Amino acid sequence: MNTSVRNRLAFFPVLLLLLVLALPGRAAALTEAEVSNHLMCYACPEDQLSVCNCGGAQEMKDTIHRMIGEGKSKQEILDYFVARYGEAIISTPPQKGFALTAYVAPYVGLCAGAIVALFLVGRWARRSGKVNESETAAADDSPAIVDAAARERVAQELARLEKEE
Amino acid sequence: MVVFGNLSQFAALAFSLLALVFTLLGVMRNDARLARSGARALLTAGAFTTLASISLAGLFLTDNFQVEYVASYSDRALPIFYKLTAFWAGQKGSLLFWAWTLSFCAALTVYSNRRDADPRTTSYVYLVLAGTLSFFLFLLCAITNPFELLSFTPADGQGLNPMLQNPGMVFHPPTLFLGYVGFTVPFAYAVAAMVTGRSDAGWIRKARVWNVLSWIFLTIGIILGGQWAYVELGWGGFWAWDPVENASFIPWLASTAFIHTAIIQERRGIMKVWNMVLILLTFTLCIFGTYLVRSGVLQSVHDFGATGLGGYFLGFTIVTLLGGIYLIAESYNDLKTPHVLESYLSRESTFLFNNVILLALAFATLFGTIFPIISEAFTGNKVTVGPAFFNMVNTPLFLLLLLITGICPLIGWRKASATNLRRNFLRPAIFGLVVLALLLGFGIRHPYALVAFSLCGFVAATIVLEFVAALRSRDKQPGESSWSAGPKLLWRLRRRYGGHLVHFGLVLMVVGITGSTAFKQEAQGTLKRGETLQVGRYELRYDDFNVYNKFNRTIYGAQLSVFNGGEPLGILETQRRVYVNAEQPTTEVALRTTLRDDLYVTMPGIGRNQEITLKAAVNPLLVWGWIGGALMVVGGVVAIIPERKRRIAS
Repeated sequence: MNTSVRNRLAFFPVLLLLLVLALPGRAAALTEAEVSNHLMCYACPEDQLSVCNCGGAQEMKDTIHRMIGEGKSKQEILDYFVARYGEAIISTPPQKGFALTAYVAPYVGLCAGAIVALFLVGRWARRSGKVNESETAAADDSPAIVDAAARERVAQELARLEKEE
Repeated sequence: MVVFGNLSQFAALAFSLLALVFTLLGVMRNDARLARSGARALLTAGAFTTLASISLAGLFLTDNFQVEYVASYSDRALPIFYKLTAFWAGQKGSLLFWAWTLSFCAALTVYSNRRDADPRTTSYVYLVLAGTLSFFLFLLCAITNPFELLSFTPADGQGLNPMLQNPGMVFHPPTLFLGYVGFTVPFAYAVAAMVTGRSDAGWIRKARVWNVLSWIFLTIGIILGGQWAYVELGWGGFWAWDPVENASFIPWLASTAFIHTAIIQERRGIMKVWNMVLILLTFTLCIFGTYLVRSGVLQSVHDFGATGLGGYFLGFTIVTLLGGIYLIAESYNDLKTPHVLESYLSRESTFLFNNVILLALAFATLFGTIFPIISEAFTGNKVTVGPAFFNMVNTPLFLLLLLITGICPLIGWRKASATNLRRNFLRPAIFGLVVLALLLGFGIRHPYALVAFSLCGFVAATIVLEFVAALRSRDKQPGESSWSAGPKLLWRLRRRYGGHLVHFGLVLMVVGITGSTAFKQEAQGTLKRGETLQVGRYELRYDDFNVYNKFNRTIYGAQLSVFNGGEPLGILETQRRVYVNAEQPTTEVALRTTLRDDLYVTMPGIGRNQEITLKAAVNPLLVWGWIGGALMVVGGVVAIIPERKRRIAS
């Protein structure tokens, strides 16, 4: 397959994508789990609502189910429970103040890690250039045990082994 | 039997301490005989731990309720099978089981090093193993003794928590423990390599095998835990980001990172320091996780309560961590190698980023898990961190991980050329886009589902193309039949293709998780006999209600006929069970699994006149998650089967 055909092939799915994006979508229905994942059980304040099996939890889940049926949004249902039981019923840390660190810290960590990795890869790759140069210099000083053809053979052999690995 | 078990336990501690002393003297005096005695003492400690474990199992089987632990977790009516598994139902027994598993791993390590010519290194390995074993045996003998007696003999025990009376409970804890415990061995090899300055390829090979083995067991344990939660707990999910679940997932991530960079060290002799860090991290996270869940500082569905063990585990974690950091700093110059990469763009550099993502995930999970403690320390306000938080923070990281899982194999070792990359990327990328287009065409607009499925398409295509290329390249070899040559090649390079199988398993797992969460359909209703409930493509008709006794429980079962568009598909029974000695009834899920979706039905309420409240859910594609999990384990096993020494053609 030549390059131009390949390029056209790559273009095809993009076109298809744009086309189907124009079609109307189906909104996924809100599920009880999506809401209960945000809540604690009011009867067992130490337990997450989603995994709690007590009568109180069942009552809350019934309420969620009913409110979804009434067409309420996730936020509306959560607001209802907060109004009834207070902020402590919400099981996710608020996205403000100190609790915001819980959300941000992992991504700060990710970015820091990625920057360190980028820096290291860059340094190691640059060093490769230097090592090659110094190897060449050393080869020039010493008697030419390794000639260019032998080096080429070694490179090929290495490439073959790499492939097998 | 109580005295015998208790004595065995103390004897095990004595021999374990003896092993510690012998190996310590052995390395100080450089005496191979002392080292050998140390190994023998370690084996003897293992034998006594085994005897103690057999005794405890015997006490359960003979209903000896004078033993406090037996009385707390068993009763006469308990089926014999669960009497045996009650061994690890509580804190004390699981610690004994932990010690026994560790002694078993220690014995395997001694056996595998029986012809080792380097007694100094193996002595250090045994030293670490004996130290860890002594720690656990000390806890058993001095703090939480499973053989402790009550001042009276109760007529019957308190019974086993009904939720633990499930076949999943037989294998979930032991496999998880095997995983945790197994990580002690690579840690021991790492310590030995650092102290002796022999940080060459020898130790990393052994550490890798033990690490992959432990990884396999931890994976099995985690998956079985999810499966158990799904079929037994009745809340419809398989993972709740509970602290105990996280405590197993965090070391799993660290060890997965090690599996990848260990390959780089084996191939290139670089990243030695980093690998030491990862091994230390994996082991420490196992112990720290145990601290978190046994200390009572966090709330968990796996209620172990405040057990008084927290301080010991925290102390052990700190000692291990500081000791490990000291050793790494001390041997830094030995470990340091001039790191050289041929190119910015190489498999090696992508592995570095894979490590960054895996550790970011581990960090996110750990930080979220302990955030209630952190928040309380800084603000005095103990916030709760529930599943929605973890889903929100971890999902983008998972998707990144999935992306890099696809990219890694496309980039060659050492140096990837631009043309090479274009050629390798084109077809998988097209496939991913086609998947995206199809999903959009079907009207799906769930953003995470779209990204996740497209990435799954992309990754799956890279793996399939890799297999196809391997099979086809062998076709061209003369003198070999094309049917046998391909599989032979795959088998010969099983470490590599085992890895690809694991990745393919991961893809299926993502398909299962995404499908069942993004496209879940639910219904709930109160039914009289003959009435139906519609959920997704299924109709459920309530036919009959039965009450009967079986073993140690009374069962209230509702029979339901399942239809799809009027076509009968069979009968399901969903139950409420009331166990002897249990206060609350438990829910027994009725499950109909197909490759397309799971029909999941529970009965939260039974009203007067046998009216029932039904909760039904359709979880699309979920079964692929379990299949993927199994494939991950199979891939791990394939990758670890020893390869024969390869002959390199002259």
